[in-house]
Parts: sequence; C-alpha cells; structure tokens
Amino acid sequence: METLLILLSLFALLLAGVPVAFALGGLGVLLLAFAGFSDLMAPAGFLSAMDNFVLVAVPLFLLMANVMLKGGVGRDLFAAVQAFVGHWPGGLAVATIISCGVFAAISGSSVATAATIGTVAIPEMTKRGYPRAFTFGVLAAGGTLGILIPPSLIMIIYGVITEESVLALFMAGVGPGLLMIGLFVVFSIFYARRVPSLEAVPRASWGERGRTGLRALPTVALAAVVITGIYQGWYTPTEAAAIGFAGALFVTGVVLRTLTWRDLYDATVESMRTTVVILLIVAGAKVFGKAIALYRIPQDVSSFISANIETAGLFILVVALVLLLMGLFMEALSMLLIMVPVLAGSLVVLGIDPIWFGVFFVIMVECALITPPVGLNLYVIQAVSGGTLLEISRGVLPFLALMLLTVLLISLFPQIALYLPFHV
Amino acid sequence: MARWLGRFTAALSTVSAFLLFAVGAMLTYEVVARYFFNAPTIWAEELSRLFMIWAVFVGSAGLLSGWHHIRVTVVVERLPLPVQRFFECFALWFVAVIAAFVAWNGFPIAAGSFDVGRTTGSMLDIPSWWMQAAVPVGFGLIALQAFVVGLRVLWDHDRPVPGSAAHAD
Repeated sequence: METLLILLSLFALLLAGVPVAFALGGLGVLLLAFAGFSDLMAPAGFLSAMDNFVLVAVPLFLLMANVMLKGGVGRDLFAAVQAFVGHWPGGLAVATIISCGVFAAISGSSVATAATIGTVAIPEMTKRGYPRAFTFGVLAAGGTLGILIPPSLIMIIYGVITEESVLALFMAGVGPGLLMIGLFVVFSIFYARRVPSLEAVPRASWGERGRTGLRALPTVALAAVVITGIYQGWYTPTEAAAIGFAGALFVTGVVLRTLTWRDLYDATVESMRTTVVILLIVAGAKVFGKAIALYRIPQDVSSFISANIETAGLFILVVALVLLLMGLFMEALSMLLIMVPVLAGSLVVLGIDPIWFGVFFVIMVECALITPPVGLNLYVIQAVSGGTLLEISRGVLPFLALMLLTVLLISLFPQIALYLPFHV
Repeated sequence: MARWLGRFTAALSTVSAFLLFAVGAMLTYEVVARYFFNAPTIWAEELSRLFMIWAVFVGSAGLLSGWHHIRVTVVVERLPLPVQRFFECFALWFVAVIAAFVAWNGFPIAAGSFDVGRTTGSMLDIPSWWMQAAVPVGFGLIALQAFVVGLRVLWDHDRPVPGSAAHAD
C-alpha cells in the first residue's frame, strides 16, 4: 500500500512537470522527513552521490562525443562507409546503420548518435528515393545503438547504482550491439529489394574508398584506442574517457583541422549542460533510493515478486512489458533510476545475472527512446528532418520489432552478452 | 535583481563548463604521467571529483531559467495556458522549497567540518568542507533562482520557453 502511494506521488510530481531530478530528490527528502530521519541525510546523500570517480566518466565521454560532433566527423564517417557498402541493395540504409554503430563507439549517447549521423544520412537517403518513413526509422533506431555499444552513459550509471563493473557492462554490450546491427542490416537489404523506386548508388572506385577511408581513419582509430584500452586494463573507464577527449581534440584540431575555437567552446558548454542535468538526476535518485530503502520498498517488491512470480523468464517478461509501457511516456534515464533500485533485490532471488540484466535494461530503454508520444530519438529525427511524429513512428515499428527480437535472443542465449566479459 | 541573478547563475554555469574541461586535462595528464614517466600524481583523481561536484551543483541554477532540466511535459503542454502557468509555477516553487531545505541542512555539515578542521583522509588530504560547501552554495542558488523564475511566470506572464533539454540517452 505504502509502495503504491509513493509510486503514485512520484508519477504525480513527474506529470505535473517538476524536473525529474527534483521530483526524485524532493520526494526522497519528504519521505525521509516524514519518517523522522535526520535532516542531514538529504544533503549528505546528494553529496555522496556525486563524490564518485566512476561518474567523472560522464562529462568526459560527453566532451569527447561533442568535440567529434562539432569537428564534423559524422560526414567523413558516413562517406567512408558509403564508399564500401553504398552499392549494395539498400546500401545507403546499410551505410547509415554501420555509421551509427561506429559513432556509437565514440559516443555514449543515443541522441548524439542519431543527430550526428541523421544530419548527413537523411538528405542522402531521401535524394535516392528511400521512402521517408523508412529513412526516419533507420535513423531513430540506428541512433539507439549509442547506448548499447560501449561507451555508454546509461551503462555507467547502471554500474554506479548497482555497484557492478562498468567494464563488464561495456563488454557485455558488444555482442548484442553487433547482433542488432546485423538484424537491422539484413532487414534493410530485404526491404530495399521490395521497393523499386530506390536509385542504386554506383560502386565507388578503390581510389574513392582509399580517400574517404583515410579521412575517417583517425576517428575509427580513436574509438579503437579508447575501447581496447578499457578492455586491456590500460586505464579505467574514467581515464579512458579523458584520453578519448584529449584524442578527440587531437583528431579534430590537429589531424583533420576542422575544429574552431568557437566549436570547442560550444562543445564544452553543451557537455556541461548535459552533465549537470544528468548527474543532478542521478543525485536526486540516490536520495530517493535511500528513502525507499529505509521504507523497505525494494524488499517488499522482491518478496511480492518471489511470492507471485516463480521463474526468471516470467519475471523478465513482466519487467519488459512494464518498461515498454513506461517507455511510452518517460525518458530513459528516469526509467533506469526509478526501476533498477526497486528491482535489484529480486535479481538475486531469481538468479538473474546483474550484468545480463543491465544489457536487457539498456535495450528496453532503447525501445523507450523510439516509442511515441515521448521518445527522445523521435524528437531528434523530427528536428533534423522536419518529418512528422506520425511518419517517424510508423517507420520505427519494424525496427522496434527487431529490438524486441534481440531481447528474446539474448534471453534464450545469454552468452551473446556474457561471453565477452566473462570468457575472453 | 532578477536579471542580475540570472546573469550571475549563467556565468557560474560557464565556470562549470571550464571546470569539467579541466577534469579532462588533469586525467589525461595522469594517464600520460603514469604510463610514460612512471610518475602518477596524488592529486588528479581527488581534484577531478572535487571539480565535478562543484560543477554539477553550482552549474545547476543557471540551467533553470531555460528549462534545461529534463522533465515530463507530455501532460502539462496539453492544458490551457493559465493552467500551464499554474503548473510551471508549482514546479519551480517545489524545486525552490526542496533546494532551500537541502541548502539549509547542508550548511552545518560544511561549517562543522570547517570548525574542527576535518580533512578527507585521502592521499591529498584536503579539508572536507571544500567538497561539502558545494551543496549549500549550489542548492542555495537553485532555490533563489527557482523562486525568482517562478515569480516571473506568475507576474510577468512571460512563460519560460521550454528549452531544448539536454539528455543522457
């Protein structure tokens, strides 16, 4: 009963338009005060949430991605990938998906990925006769790879709140990420064969491939250095983010010479905004999490679940449905920060691997990014392309089905996610 | 007064941006120093946490007036304008009250550490209040700014334009 009341008040505050950070933090503060706990717990909670070296990776990965974005690497990347696969059936769609996958290895955010590649790919695809809805769908869905393929801001935050290894989470995202790219690519090729209006792109010459490839090479090399270094233990994810940021400055400022001082300033301010907004929500969620733990809500939920849900499979199915529903009207980070603390207790009871659950959660959150009426990637594509929300949502549907298929596949074969972190 | 506060908090947000930039520089230096010169620093890790704490708490207030903080607008934006204004004012003053409470209770924590000269007990061993003071300062500014923006929504009827919210996803 108490649990229901608290969740209802939270949703009331959220729907009234209170910023998420303060809806979570504020409700946490009120709950602590009503229960008569020390008033010092709230400020102490906000501070201790931020006093965390792992979270320092958040601003640094944002700086890296924003510098690359302002430096215009999206165009180079797309041109290079297109030179190699553009002549395939559905080649531009394939190039778009692969470019999203590569940019996802630089950026930890889906929105940045969709925006960067979308600006370049949408005009190209429409010019070659790709149906608008399909084009928008490719971009909105391809963008979501940003948080599945490492680095990933959502995984960093999941790792911090569940105290799991960010490294293991990153590595667990690689397999499902490649699987999803594969599914998207295969679907696009089949789709393109059935649309006669598509204009084929002539096969690029090897000279063209070499020229564009050379220009995209520093970008790919930077992504490789950052991810390999984390994997090999040369540096922590946080330090990797710093290296990535320094590398991004080097690539765009010295090698490609596309970054102006103005761009750098804009990238820094943009990263600050996103950092402050995200991390304040994380801090608010910490206070909320502390409060509900003292009200024993996670324990109540997990005993309710263990009394009513016998198998892990059923649990995952129920959670997936709840997340799909929540995703209709909430954004990803809030879903993560509200649901994970509530559900974490049940994982142990049901014997679900928390790293696997993190990957599952990320894919479900990706679905939330592209389901209307509230889906950030839909808005981004709308802003970039001028399409209507209805058109974009229609185009997204087949990709949504493929993402849910990915969830099914990793549920049947958990090794897709867990092989890399635990067996290599 | 309101305009002066707005400019001040916006300037602080810019300072936050530079603090985060500095974190990137410090940690790059740390990795280079450790790998190539076998000379890790004792300050990079702790100072980067300190900088980030200040950047997040002090950078927040400046983002209120542009509605940069993520919120759910799907219901509110469908309501008639006067009702919308009511909810915006409610949201801002809710923020103001909570932030004031946090700032008020955060102050004695920092002041207490200052009085007894408590330090972090880490390698660098900086005074604890360097970190703890970020909470009362940051949330105090948030409370002030949210209160003032709320007043403006109510009196001047200039509804803050829903800004382009920054996002994690």
